[in-house]
Amino acid sequence: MPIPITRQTHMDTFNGMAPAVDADHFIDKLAFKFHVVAKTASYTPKLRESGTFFTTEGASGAIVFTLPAVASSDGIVYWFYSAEIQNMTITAPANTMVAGSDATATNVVFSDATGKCGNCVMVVGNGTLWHAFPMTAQNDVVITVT
Amino acid sequence: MPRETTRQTFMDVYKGKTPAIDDDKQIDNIAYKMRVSAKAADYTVVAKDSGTVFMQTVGDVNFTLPDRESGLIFWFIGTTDHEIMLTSDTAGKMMGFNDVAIDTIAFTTAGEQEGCGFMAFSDGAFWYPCIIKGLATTTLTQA
Repeated sequence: MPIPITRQTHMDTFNGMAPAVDADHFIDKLAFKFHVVAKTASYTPKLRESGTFFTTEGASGAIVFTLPAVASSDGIVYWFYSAEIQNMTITAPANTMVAGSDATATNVVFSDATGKCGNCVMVVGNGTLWHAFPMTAQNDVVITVT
Repeated sequence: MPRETTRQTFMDVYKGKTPAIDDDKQIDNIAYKMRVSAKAADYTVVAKDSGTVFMQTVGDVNFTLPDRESGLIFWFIGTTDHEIMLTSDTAGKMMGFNDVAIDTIAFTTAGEQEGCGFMAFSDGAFWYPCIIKGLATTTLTQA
């Protein structure tokens, strides 16, 4: 719930309690913080967690993030960040992900022995497909798409 | 200040002045603009800048991140062929390439810097820079 502000951001607020929208119904100069959640075991994000930034901080083994059903994915966005030197896999329902020049992918995997840590993937759904946007830590990080 | 709307976006609003939230307490179909701030000199980012896109405009620019706090998020983009660097608030508290304890990360190679950048967020324990590469091959320096 909105709470009275104790310090001013650069963002317009309404009654000091909620973001305001401008004449075009935009939230202008959005000031926000992510919902950041660490997962030390494999996990299936919930639809209501859209906008969440998942990390593998503290994981001692491989982590698999399994995306929800694609039919419910319109507008859903998740971020995944490999924070340990462990494999990280993003798995969509079979053949419903666009990634790495593959329009019918299922998995995006960071398992390169020298490049497991420090990689990120943003995943956005449109109700038909999941779209993966990988951001690698270095040029030579190998992303496996299957 | 909020004012009566003259044109509807795709985002549901409440009383025409504030974003509505849905049953999952999400702002659905969020319509927003980002705060963009140009920097031509080194800058120490502050927590209330969260959500801002910083643009390096002239010369090398070192952005020092604020104290780690869960959810803080910033973007940094180089717009000229000069170095753009992120420095953690505390040594060893930033995640790097196959290194969980770096101090700085930077694009340092001339000819590769324009259009490169970072998105950096924190979980309260570390800073996590996500890399935006302007070219297929881009050199990053971390220390």
